[in-house]
Amino acid sequence: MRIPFYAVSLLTLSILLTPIIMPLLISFSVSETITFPPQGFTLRWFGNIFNYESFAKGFIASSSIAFTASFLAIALSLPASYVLYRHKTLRLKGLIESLFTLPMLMPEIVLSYMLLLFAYRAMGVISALSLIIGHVLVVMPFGMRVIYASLSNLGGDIEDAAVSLGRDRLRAFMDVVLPNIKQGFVGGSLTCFMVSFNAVSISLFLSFGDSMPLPIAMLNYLQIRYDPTIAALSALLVAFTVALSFAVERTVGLVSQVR
Amino acid sequence: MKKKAIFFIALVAVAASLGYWFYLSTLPQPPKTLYLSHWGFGWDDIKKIVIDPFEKQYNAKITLIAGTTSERFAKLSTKAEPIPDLVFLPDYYTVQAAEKGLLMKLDLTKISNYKKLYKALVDQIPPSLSNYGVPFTIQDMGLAYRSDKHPKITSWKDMWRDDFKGKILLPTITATSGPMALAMTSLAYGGTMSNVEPGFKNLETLKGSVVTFYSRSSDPQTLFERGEVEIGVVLRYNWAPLQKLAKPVEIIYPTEGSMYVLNMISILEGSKNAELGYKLIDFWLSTDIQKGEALAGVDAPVNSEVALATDHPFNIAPVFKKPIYLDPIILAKDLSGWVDTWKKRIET
Amino acid sequence: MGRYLEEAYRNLRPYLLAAPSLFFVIIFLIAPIFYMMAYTPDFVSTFVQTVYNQEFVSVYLRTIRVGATVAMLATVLAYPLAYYVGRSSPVLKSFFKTMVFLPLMVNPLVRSYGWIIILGREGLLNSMLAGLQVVAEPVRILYTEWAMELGLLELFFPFMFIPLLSAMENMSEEVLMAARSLGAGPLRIFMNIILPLTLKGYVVGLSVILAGCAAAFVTPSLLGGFRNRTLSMLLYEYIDVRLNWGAAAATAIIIMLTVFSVNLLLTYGVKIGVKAK
Repeated sequence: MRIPFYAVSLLTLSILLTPIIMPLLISFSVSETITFPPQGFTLRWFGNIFNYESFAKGFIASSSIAFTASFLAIALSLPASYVLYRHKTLRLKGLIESLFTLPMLMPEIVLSYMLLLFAYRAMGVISALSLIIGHVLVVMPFGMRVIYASLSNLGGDIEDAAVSLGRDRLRAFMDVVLPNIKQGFVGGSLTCFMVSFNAVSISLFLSFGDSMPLPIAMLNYLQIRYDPTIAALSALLVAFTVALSFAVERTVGLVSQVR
Repeated sequence: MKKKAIFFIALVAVAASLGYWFYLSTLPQPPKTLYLSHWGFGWDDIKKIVIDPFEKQYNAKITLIAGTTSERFAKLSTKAEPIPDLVFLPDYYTVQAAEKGLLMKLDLTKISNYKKLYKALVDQIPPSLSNYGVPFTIQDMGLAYRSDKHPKITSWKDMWRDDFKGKILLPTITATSGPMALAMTSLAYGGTMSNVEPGFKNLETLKGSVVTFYSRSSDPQTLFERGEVEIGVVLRYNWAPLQKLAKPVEIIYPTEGSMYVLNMISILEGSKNAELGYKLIDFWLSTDIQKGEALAGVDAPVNSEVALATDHPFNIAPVFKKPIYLDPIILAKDLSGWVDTWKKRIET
Repeated sequence: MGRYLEEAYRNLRPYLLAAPSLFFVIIFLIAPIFYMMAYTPDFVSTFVQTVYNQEFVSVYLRTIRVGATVAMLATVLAYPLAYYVGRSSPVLKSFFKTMVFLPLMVNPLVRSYGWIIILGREGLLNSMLAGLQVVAEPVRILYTEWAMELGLLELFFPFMFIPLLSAMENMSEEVLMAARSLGAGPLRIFMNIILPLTLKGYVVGLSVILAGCAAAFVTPSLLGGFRNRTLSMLLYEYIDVRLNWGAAAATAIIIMLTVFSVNLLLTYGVKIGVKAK
């Protein structure tokens, strides 16, 4: 039984992990083009990242977008998850639930296009606002899921206890529920941040000029050049997201949040 | 409770300031900033040779909006922010932009270097177009091939040779060289630019051998370097990078002729910086700048006063031996039909 | 009177709480769908023109082909792996759970870039094949459907693996031993024990993969190229390259319908299947 196990594991792990490791290996290569196996050793591509303005700007843009979108998404998810959790017998519950799962079913690229149309025709101009709205929509289901799980773990009793002890609903919520789901709160925000930071398709039609998110800046770079700078940047991004996801693991155990 | 409140307020403050910074960065810049919509290809050199000197001389700031031709054209059509002041397009896209009313009618007297351009090129430009764009370089088409792996090629039809099976690079129809490749095939096999059926027919027999249809400017260099292709249709802007590759690549004009289009600079209708725009166009066409760009291998000069060595790769005299100008008016008209047919028959 | 209002308020409160989020989704997700359809001039005829078209059909078939292949590859890998891992130590389980999600945390550009280095004519795979002397000349893998499928497999594998893993974890060792002692061969065990228990999880994974492949854009376009367009690549083309927004709307609708119907079909299929047992 061991041999088939090793075989399948090896095959699967190589399919999953090799593509992630590759850019890291190539990023040290001396040659100006992407060849395998990499030759030589140099750090110049890492330095080159900072020569290209769009990458630094893109990182800041992606971070602000992710931050703002996560903030809004969590703000919207909190009441929504709360309602879905506490009022399990609500009429229209099925409808509400489906509405909130809808963004997950919607392909990012379709969403990007529809918001483009909406923004361009209905609002007359495309701007940062539509980009952020798009990211909120993409990220919200993740936030909701994490917070909902957090609320489930908490259970409703503690809140009811507070109410029966004389607090009104709002104070009960703020003093009792919020502190206890802090983990889910933070974990949810970090998850949203990561999803937004990595999201590419949603920004395809909604980004513009100076302030484009980092993945779009990378795509543009690939249009005109093909040197290992992209590999170096990719390696840094991998490190960044891995660090972020460790943070998520610490606060909320990412894996248990996905069914 | 107090600590929480402070934390919460701090969080909101950070979010708000980030958001506000982001919003600010998307506002239009103060005047004396020119937004250029350009491919971005070779921008490092362009910045050194053209942009930095111009910015210094005219105390201006130039911001690049990069992208492929079709992406930028799409953004022009939807008036996506930020709206550029100047746009760099292949001539047959300039035609389409002019038809949509996006471009300002140019006063050519404001461009003193216009008269220095090659008459042979300028005379070919249809009159209706010449008021909406000024050519700044020529994009002529050639065939690149691995000279170490294949015997010499001379004709466009050599692409159909057996030794190139499975190793061909063609552009997609929406790249600048796409329609050119179609038209050239058509001419090589007895068709005309209006009747491209021979072009389609013969490309259909070739398509199984095509590795991929490229759309990115950097694709030809990348794919030749990685050994994925050994013959391909390339434009002038690919020449310098291709010649720098470790693998030996030779570029020829086929005997059927040197097909070319002109890349043009236009000013957008409603630009608030038109005067500065005119100055940049004139600057871009000046002899010194055109020569600088040619020596750096970025853009071939259209200014006839630029003197280059006869064997310099960017001396465009060879083009004039058998030049074939792809009429941009016809091309603009037929393009969408060509695209539809191409997608059905060639690229499915 | 006051009590009546208070009562009403308490009944309405959940709706009020959920309202802002609901409005957000309705205004920015639902409304644009209808807006897109209403705004396109002559929507019905544009739709028909776009869809009843050889190009569209072949792109659609390719999309389905790719999705099905990825699903099949995922099944072949995930089932045995879930079986083995499900009965291993918690440390190993935790290890695999983390590893399997790693690709998701990485930007699709980075992943595709890695695949390009692996699958290129002079890339890792071809170097290995040549070194092992399996092939005389480098094989063209990049810019084919296989390349896309590998890239998508990497992305969607966890969605098949994790549900199967949970199911396998819950499968009791005793039942398996009993079956074996009764003489059932591996195939019987699979069909009668493993399959029914894991069916629900499998179907969830299947629907995520099929829907995801229809919707994916970055990975297929970087690994497949223009020769191998999928639905989402076609959508991109109509919008950014061919500027045919009517056709784009039609394509978007088709993508959404496909994703929704895959989900619906599989959800109800499972419900019916479970009832039938």
